[in-house]
Amino acid sequence: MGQIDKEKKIIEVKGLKTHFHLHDHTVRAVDGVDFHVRAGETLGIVGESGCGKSITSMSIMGLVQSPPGKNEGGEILFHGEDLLKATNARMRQIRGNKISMIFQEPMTSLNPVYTVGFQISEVLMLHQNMSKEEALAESERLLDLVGISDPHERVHEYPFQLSGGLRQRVMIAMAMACQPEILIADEPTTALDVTIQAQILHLMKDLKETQNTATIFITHDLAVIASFTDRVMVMYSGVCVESAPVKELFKNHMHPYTEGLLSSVPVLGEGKYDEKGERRFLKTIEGSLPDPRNYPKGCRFAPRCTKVMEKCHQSEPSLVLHGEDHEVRCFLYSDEIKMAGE
Amino acid sequence: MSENNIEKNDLVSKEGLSHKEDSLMTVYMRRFKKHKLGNIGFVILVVFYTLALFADFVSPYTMGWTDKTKSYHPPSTIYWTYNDGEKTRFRPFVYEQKIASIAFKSYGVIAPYSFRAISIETIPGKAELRSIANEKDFGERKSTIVSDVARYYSISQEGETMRRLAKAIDELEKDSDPDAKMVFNIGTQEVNGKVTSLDIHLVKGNKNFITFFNRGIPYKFLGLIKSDLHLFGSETGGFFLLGGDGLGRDMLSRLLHGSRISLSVGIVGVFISFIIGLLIGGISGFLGGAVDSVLMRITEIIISIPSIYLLFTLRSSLPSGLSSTQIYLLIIIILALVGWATLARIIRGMVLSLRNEDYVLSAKTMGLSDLKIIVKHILPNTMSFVIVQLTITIPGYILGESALSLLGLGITEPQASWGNMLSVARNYRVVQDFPWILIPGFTIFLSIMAWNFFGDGVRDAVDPKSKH
Amino acid sequence: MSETILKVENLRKIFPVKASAFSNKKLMLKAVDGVSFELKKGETLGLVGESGCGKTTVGRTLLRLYESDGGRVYLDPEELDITEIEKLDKKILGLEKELDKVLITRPERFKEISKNLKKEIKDLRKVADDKARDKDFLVMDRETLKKSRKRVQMVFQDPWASLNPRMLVKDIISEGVREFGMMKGDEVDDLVANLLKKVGLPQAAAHRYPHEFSGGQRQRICIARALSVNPEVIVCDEPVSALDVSIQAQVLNLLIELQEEFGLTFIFIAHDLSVVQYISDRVAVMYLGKMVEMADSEVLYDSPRHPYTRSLLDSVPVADPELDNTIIPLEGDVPSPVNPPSGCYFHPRCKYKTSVCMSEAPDLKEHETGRIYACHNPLK
Repeated sequence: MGQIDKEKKIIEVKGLKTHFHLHDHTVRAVDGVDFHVRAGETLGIVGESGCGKSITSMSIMGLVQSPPGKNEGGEILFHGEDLLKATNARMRQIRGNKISMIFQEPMTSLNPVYTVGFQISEVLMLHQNMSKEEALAESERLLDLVGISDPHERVHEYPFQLSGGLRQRVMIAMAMACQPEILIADEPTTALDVTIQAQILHLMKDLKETQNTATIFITHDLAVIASFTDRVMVMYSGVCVESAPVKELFKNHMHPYTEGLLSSVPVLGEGKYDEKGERRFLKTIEGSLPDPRNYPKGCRFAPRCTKVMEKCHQSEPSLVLHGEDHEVRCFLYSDEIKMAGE
Repeated sequence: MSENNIEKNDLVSKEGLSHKEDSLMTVYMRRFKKHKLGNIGFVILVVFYTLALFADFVSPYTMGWTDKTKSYHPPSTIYWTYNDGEKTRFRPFVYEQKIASIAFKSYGVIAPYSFRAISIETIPGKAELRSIANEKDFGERKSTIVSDVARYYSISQEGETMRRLAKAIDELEKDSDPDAKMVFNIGTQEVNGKVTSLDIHLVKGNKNFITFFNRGIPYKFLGLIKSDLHLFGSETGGFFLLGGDGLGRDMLSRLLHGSRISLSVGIVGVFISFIIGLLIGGISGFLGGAVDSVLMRITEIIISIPSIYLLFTLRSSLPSGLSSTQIYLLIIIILALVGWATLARIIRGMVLSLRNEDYVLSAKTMGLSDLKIIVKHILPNTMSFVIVQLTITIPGYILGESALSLLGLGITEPQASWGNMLSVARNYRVVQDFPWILIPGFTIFLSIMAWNFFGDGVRDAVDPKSKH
Repeated sequence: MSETILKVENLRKIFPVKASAFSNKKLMLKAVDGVSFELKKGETLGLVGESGCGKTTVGRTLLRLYESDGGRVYLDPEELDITEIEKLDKKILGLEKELDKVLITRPERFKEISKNLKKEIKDLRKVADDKARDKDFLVMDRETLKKSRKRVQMVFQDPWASLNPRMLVKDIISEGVREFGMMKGDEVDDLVANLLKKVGLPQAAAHRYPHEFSGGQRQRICIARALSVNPEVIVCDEPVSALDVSIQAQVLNLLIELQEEFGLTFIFIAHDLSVVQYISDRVAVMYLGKMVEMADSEVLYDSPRHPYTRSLLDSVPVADPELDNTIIPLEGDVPSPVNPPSGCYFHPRCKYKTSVCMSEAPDLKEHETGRIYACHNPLK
């Protein structure tokens, strides 16, 4: 494990809201999200499609297409500087340099008409003021760092000559080139085969330890969360519903949604029949995700919740801290109601 | 377990389909409405095609009507109000003009004391009596009119009718209204068993008043319904809203009649191309292999031949003495034969990509034959793109027809088409002296732009990935 | 006492691909390279593997959505007399092996020899196919094929591509029933209403278009469609891979319920090992077009024999943070199916390889009862 500096919060997000204004309705993709990441720590953001996890990361990077997206409130404090108020020029300084991102689709995240070496060099020449030769040499070193064999030859290859796993390694090399303080990984292994996924996760773990980069890891795969992250934030319909250290979350999950998620995933080792010889059935979460254009009144998970109460339909609960580091948004544990400005 | 099922059904039903039904068409229409240029194009097209449909009604005259004394008449200026001595009212008029300079270049308004005799045309296309007398002396004017009328109707100048005419002219002269007019009946005539009345307008002054919904030159609406109602016009002639051409024909009327040809050729031609292209492209894409290769080679050959030359060659190799209708159909067929190839290629490409879609494979598991799959699953899904391609091809056909007619290989006189109206514009002097002769070029341009804009709008509306 | 409902023998599918964007040379991509298995009535056979292993192609070739390049698929094999065909097939296989050898070693007059062999193979094949015309799903004529198609159906992977966007849901679901002439008019409407209820969709769904539904709901429509013709076998090609986690569970449960209610047999193709284990009785693992191991699900996951299966299982992250996941991941990339390695396809990445692995491909054999695998040095 890399050193986690308990004091230093590299990035702090408070009340982030990003809405999309379309022709006759508004989609509240991210509707009040709070979290922080410390140096050397890995925060996992887990949720299903439409929960806003990708938009959250895009908001940090300032990559939300505006129109129709618009930041409607909150702060993103990077070493105390609010990125939402930063100028375009300042964001360009930060991207790829202090905060980098790797994406899900290795097939489309690299430009097909430039060599791999060129694309990594671009980042280096831009942010580190290296010359072309210096950048190329450094690119080779980076390719080696991410476990690509024959980096001297690979550096001149084009993306189409590489497999998905190799491309993702190149992406990681690009992202780590300037030794960023934060690495945002948006479903980096979802599109990969399971053996390649294992390789990439292994690589990222190694890098985490040697470089001590704070990481935000976004995924829908709870197993990956369990094996890779330090803390977890569970998102649902644009808000955080639970956040805790990973072991705590899996052992003492509190929010019904988290519980539902954990029990609806088949676990390796548990086959068709349980110990009693009966057919095993996954416990599902009934219903489907709410329409982002029209969230229900009250708690957004209430229509699907097995433990729903009357008050859950009236008002939205607030995110409340329980214990040392465990926050939940649920009336089962607190009566605090979410304030309008939250 | 089944009880659970029913419970689950209720739950799912509750949140299943809460929002209202939105058919694909509604989605497309909504997206199209947002496309400004597309809507502009659509409006222009609606206006053009409606005018083309009602060309007979909207034109002040007919296609073939001419006033030989008004060659290259400039566009008439409209004066909107008229003071009849007491008050000024809304009563639009234009001045009657006559050639002022021998060098044929300019027209001038006739004197306010002029006298005119104009036959009321009952048989469209028959030459009219349009006599203008603007001599200073009244007597001379009277005799000019009388002799012109007598000559036109082949009546004796000394006869009863002409004496009546002279008296009528005297009366009119005495009238205080400087623009007075009357209708004078010459007699009757029997034509094909029908008795028609021969009337003329006797007009004092130099003004032609424009009336709306007036009775003008008779026509047959769509070749079926007889009528003589025109939207607007001047009963006494001399009104050239967009000017006159070399033979003294009204540009506006010809433009409207010509639009029928020029605008419809595109649509009909594209429709035929579409059928051919669909068949060939569909078969080629779905069957693949040798069939595909052969068909595509043929298509490519057709595409590589420059279309204009192919057009002309085909046209020239066909007999020359054909009727207007036959030429019209021929042009359409030729355009279609030249144009199907591009469409076929596009359809083939689409079929190739759709052939491997999962829902096509699913249809296969349901036992559908290849033909049924093409017809039921593949072709309907090419429709949106094909329609877009059609709207983009139509301008090309409009231009093709215009090019043919311009060079005399297309629509011939007396039938009007925008292309053949422009053929006189090949003479630079004509264009320099009489620039209104180019108006058909402008309408061609406008209709092509309208189709392109409309096509853009449709394409964006239908493409799921476009920004809208 | 379940009988065999489906028997697949030596299934092969080859795709010709261009060597590169600019060359005209055609390379043979052996997507499915001789896959055989038997399916028992009522069971779920899981088929796993990574991209390029050929599992999806197996499903599609089985259903004759791609025309096969060899192999036999028998429905209700126990009721058919296929001994003659099998004898001929074996002979053909022997000749093909000879032909391969000749082409590699190139002895004198090899051109003539290979030509003769090819002709012999072609003739024998024709005889065998004629004999199998009414038994083998892959060579049936149109009439018989149409009758047999309704017995084997498919649920596709991509819920967004498997429904014709221009057709109403009720027409989509009832297309097969109408095409096979199984019922008409009001009966069809009743059937659609019934099926919608069975898969948990509201009745109003019948008159909507696919784009109005979510991924999970579309997958339910697909399942309803597959059920409509009363099939015996359903090939589920990654039916939940494109769905959200909570929806996956719903659809999986639905499949299990329907299997119990209708006595269906499933071939469940997926790359997610946990999902496959949860739903399957037996599991087969594929690698580069070949089957490398097949066993009962629990047995396979407890003690795999093939090193690839072991690596595959080891690569799956476990949803338990207490466990220390220090996996040593499998080295290297999945090789290209166009240019497979010599001998055992897996040997370049295998920790346990020996010299024989590089030269000789191991046979897929039932080394232990109920377990088949192809490895020279199986794990204990």
